[in-house]
Amino acid sequence: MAKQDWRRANGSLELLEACDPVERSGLAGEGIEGALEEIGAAITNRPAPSPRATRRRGRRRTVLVVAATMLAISATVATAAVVFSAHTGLFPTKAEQAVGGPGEALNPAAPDFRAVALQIASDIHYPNGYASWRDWVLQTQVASSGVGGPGGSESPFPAGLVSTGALHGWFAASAFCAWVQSWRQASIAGDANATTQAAQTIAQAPRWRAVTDEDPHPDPSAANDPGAVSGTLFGWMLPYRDAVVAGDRARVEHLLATGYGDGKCWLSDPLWMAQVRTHGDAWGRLSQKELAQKYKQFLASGRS
Amino acid sequence: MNGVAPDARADFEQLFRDTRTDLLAYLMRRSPSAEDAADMLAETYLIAWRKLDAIPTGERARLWLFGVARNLLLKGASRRRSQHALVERLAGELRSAHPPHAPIEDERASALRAALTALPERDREILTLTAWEGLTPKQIAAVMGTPGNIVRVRLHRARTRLKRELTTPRRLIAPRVGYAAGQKTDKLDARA
Repeated sequence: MAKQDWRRANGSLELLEACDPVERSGLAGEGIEGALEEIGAAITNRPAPSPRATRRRGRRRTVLVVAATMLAISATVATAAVVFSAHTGLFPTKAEQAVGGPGEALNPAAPDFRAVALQIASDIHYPNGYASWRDWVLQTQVASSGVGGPGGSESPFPAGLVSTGALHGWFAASAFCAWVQSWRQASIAGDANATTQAAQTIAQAPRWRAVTDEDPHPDPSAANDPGAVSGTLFGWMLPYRDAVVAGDRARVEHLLATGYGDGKCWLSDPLWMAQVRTHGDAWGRLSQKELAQKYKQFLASGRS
Repeated sequence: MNGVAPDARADFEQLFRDTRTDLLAYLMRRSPSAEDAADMLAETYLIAWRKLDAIPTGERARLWLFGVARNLLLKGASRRRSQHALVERLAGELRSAHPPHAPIEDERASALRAALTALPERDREILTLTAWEGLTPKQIAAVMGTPGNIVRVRLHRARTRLKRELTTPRRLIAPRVGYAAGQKTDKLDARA
């Protein structure tokens, strides 16, 4: 049925339409149009989200966009900034935590940031041979959180702060993916001990404090913002876990290649990401399906 | 520049131009103040900018934006006002164009507002998305994340309830639905 037909099928709808509280012509004025143009320009002049920021919901928590406000309001911050440590003594409000994650806001531009970050990650264990994945978190996530921005390393007021909770969560996601890779390789090698150890670690991962601090009840099917991938922040871990616990290597490899929801483990894999960078624009134009195929080939060759 | 491919930026700018007035009207109808409407409009597009690769193509992009704006409304996003100068400027322009004073409205408009407010929120939302945003049941389904056939059934029931409310005498003047509700009634006046 045509739109007009069903709308006119009932007089109450016409009456409702006539009572529209907004006069559309009133929104077409020069002043409003000008203000809208400025807002649009301000938005598109913002830094682009990192690819990871749009693919994994946790990455949205990279930058505490409220950092400037927090710095402005807190007189004690100035004192902390003079010392210029990663520890700022700032704790976001609950509303801010929803965007930036829980815990203290850290300054990634501070010289002691790496040491502080590794201390935070000290309860997150990686399998043997995957230490480079931890460094990759620092290189990529912290790099995309605003270091090197307008504040730069010489400024006590960097472009972005990062919460201890978000940082902890990034390490957890990275280590989880490393354990999944480790399980797959142990399974291929027929190493029963390593397979069991990896499976036990993976099974416990959804209850790691780094996970539950941000996502008390990981759920891969929870509703999300329209257009976004469904699932809670760490809900994507569960399909990987279930496949590992079931010993289903084919399923694990499928998940590794395609990701589940926001959980694209390849983003944590420095070797793979180096290849992606090497191929630059050529791979940048590939569809997700084509990229997944490339990753399957990578798994079959480079990681077996 | 800022790391966004030129095509992606151009697409976003076009989407912004194509949808901003619709989104602004939608938020104006449902926000408690011009500041809230302006703030949530900016927030909606900021979320879109941050999720560039999550925005669907074609007509679905517009509905996706409605869905984001709807979520902000449901979450009461106005409580965390940005107080950004550009948002304040837009709010000022909106206040000038739509002064927030209670208008003198006719009996029919008043009755309709009362009837609308007496409906369950779900009915009210489907009815106003239909009448004010001009969305089809299928489009409403996309915005609300609800199956289309359910929206059709709800719309039918909501229209029936609205009719019933309109024919039931009411003593109370219902509160306004949003900032803009109850302001401009000259369209109705003209028909009265």
